[in-house]
Amino acid sequence: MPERWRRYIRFWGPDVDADIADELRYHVDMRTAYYRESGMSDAEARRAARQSFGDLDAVTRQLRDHDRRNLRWQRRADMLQDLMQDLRYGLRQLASAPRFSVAVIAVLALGIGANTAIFSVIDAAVIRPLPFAAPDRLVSVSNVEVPWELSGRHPKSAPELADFRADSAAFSRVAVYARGSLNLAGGTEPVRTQIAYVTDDFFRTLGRTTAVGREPVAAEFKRGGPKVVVIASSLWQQQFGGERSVIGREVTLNATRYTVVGVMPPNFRFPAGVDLWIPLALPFGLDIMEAFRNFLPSEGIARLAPNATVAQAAQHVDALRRRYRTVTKDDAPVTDLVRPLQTTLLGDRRAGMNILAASALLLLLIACANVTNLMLSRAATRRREIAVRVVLGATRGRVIRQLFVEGALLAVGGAVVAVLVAAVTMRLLVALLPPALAAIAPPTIDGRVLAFTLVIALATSLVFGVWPALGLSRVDLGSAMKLAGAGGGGSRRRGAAHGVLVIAEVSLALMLLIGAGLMIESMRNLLRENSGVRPENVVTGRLTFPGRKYSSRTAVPEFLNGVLARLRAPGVDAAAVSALPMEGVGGIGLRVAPAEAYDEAHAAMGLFLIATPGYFNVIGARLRGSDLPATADTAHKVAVINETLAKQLWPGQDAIGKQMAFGPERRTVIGVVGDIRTRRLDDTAQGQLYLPMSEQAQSYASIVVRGSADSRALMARLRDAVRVDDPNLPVYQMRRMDEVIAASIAPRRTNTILLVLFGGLAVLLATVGVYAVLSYGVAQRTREIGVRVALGAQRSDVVKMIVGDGVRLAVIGVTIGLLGAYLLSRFVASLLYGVSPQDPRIFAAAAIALAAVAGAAAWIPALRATRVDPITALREE
Amino acid sequence: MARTKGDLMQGTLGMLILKSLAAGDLHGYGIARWVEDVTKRSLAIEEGSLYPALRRLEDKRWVASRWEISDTNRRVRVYALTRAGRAQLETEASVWMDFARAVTLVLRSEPSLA
Repeated sequence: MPERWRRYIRFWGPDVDADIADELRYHVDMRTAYYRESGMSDAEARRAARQSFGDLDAVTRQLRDHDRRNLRWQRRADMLQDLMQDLRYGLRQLASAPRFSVAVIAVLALGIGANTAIFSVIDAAVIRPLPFAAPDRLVSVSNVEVPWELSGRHPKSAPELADFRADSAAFSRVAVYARGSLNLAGGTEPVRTQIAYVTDDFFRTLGRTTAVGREPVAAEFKRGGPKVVVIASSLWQQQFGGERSVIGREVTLNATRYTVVGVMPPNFRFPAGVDLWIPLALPFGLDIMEAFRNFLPSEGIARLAPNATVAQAAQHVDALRRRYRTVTKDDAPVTDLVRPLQTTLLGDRRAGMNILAASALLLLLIACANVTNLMLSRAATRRREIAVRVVLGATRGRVIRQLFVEGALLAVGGAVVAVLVAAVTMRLLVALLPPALAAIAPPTIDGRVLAFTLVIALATSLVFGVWPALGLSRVDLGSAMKLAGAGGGGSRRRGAAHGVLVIAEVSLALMLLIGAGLMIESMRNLLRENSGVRPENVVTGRLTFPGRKYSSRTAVPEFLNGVLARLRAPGVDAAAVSALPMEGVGGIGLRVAPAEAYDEAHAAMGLFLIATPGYFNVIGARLRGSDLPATADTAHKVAVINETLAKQLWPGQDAIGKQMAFGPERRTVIGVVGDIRTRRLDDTAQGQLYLPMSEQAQSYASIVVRGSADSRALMARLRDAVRVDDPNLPVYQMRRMDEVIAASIAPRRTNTILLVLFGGLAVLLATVGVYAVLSYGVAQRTREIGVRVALGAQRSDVVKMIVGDGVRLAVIGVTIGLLGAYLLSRFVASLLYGVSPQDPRIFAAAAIALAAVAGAAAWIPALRATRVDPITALREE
Repeated sequence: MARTKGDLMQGTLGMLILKSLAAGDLHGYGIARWVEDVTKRSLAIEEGSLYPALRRLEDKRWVASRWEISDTNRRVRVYALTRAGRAQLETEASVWMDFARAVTLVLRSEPSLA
């Protein structure tokens, strides 16, 4: 194959221009000489030669173009050929050491997989744009009041939608939506659907429109206009078979008839989980309240005006806010009334994600250190092979490239396994996202995630490949080629490299372990002391009473009393409450104050709830004073408040027997109940007041049942008790109370699980690292140990020497790790609950645990060292 | 305009080069001289066009080149016929012979007016 060898003929490759010049000049010179022989003068001969050659310059140009093109092509082909050769050779090398290859790929898969998984979540949460037009210009707007019919009689408390729309310097479009739920009939079967009332401009603000049919037109956003809905693609598939004939079809939402005019595209589900969009006519009347339990939780979205920034828009909104209502003089400016929509959807999850991403990166570094160690150990066994290749003419660059190709092969192998791991764990990871975001943009393994994985894998291979490559390419031929030189000159330097890597592993692992410890401690704190309820043996279910059947003031209390009476039995107690704690619902805030000092300075915010007598007992809260009464006494109104509200209203005094006021109403505090977490288990305590259900019944209630019976039996009992009186009334969201609490901290739980997982893996990898390095050291020092034993060293001396090596490395690593964890601790503070980020107990426990594990890992090679037979060890020479 | 002998030459330059190398390896000037000698200068070959033609043959792997040092101590590029080139020469030569024979037959036949 001449092509293959041609490049070796001239060291730097052919010099195209010189070659052409040489060749053509030779031709002309020869022809000149020929003419001269035939009797021409020098000048004549040369002229004639030129003439018979033709256009020398043109030919030169032609050849130069041709040869340069050929050379480029040739180089590319050579490179590809070399690469293929490297790949083939690398694969053969890896296949010849299957245990090594599998170990490296497994370690890399762990490190890369953790990063792939976390990245897929961050990609979904932060990087991937929301499925809206120009999503970076979309913001959420707080404090938008939606005008309603009767509001003219009340002083307005916030700027109205129209005020926002008028502010064209800040916003180009503004829309408001309100979420609720209604019963849908007219599809395949009656279902409870999530609905959103949306103002005109809603779809245009988001920049998306219907996939089938049309958006509602202006007339349909007017009061008294035609009643129409737009449905989500999922509902269209489930309830209408995905048929286009759905357009124009009539459906019934809680007894009101609507016409379907459009279907949104499949990836449009905003706000999260919504099945139907209903035009909201402004000002709105009471008729839409059915979906909202008498309270319209509206949320504003807007598209920023061209050139407007989020901060500018926020200033404008705060200025609007201050023009209204009773903003007191010392009321500080509020700066976060306008926020990027993505930020709002992400909520408070960002910190957790950053911590997880950092932890995954630490884990990857540990994996790199581990793999570097494995590579170094393996490199020692390959010194002869490399030396042979160098002797046979491989350049240093070629050897290094070969080693990197092997590293890259391992990394890509690790990446493939990593993607599989990430795909499997995706279900767990979804819990990291708030439901609002997970519904719109769920994490998937898409091209970007795959590209990320590949990049991180190749970067990893550079990190773990560079050290062994530099070491091996400097192989000293003389000593390497000698048979006995296997453990020769470089071993001390390599030993130091191993040591540094182990120290790094131990210190990084300790940081992760401390993080995991802090998370576990937070979780324990949360679960131990905080909920304010005793969730064991409690099940709950929710009821929503249709307005028509339960319209009279007494209907709901009577129905509930019947159900609760039927539920009660020896060992079973039951009660009802308007909103279950820790189910995510906050309740409605009221501004209350002591009756004797009814002013702004003494007022406090209280979330108002309604309960039947016995509720505190059933849910397991501590109650001082009297329970709520079973029957209403309109002359003597009473309330139970929680400790936080009691402290705020009457600091340092006993609240029981005091009068509280909100508006014109006065109530006597008859009891004080311990704080119950409101929306989530990890909420801060908020003021609460409980009013008797007998005077304040609403169209919904949660029933709580405590009994020692099996939870399934209790749920069946609950369903039966309701069915007796109203067979058509569904009991939904039936769960055990501990499930409710667990769900309220699901993201924290996922964070904790992942950090504990990372910490555990890190410790495992570090332990393996310590073990591998000491084993390698023992193998290298067999002869030295043999000499020591021959000179009278005891087994205990040998053990002390080897374990001492391990402990020395571990202690240095632990020290650095403690320092690192201390420096990094403030970043995790926001994730912790009831534990200092520098908690000395956890720091100490983690350090001791890691040192102990490392010490244990050192014992095995140490014991192996004691079995060294001095005679064999010395004879090996 | 009537075709000259030189024009005719262009299309078959490749074949001539292959033929010139059939007997042994030559440098570019050698090929030019060989053609001159064999054809008794009846074909006017523009020497410059020889080299692009050689590159084309090399690209097709019919000809291979190497550098040698001449008696006068100069670098000389020497061309050699490859195995594929020899086969190609045989094919082209026989096609050419058949064609030439056919054309000769036609030209020598009696004109028939019938």
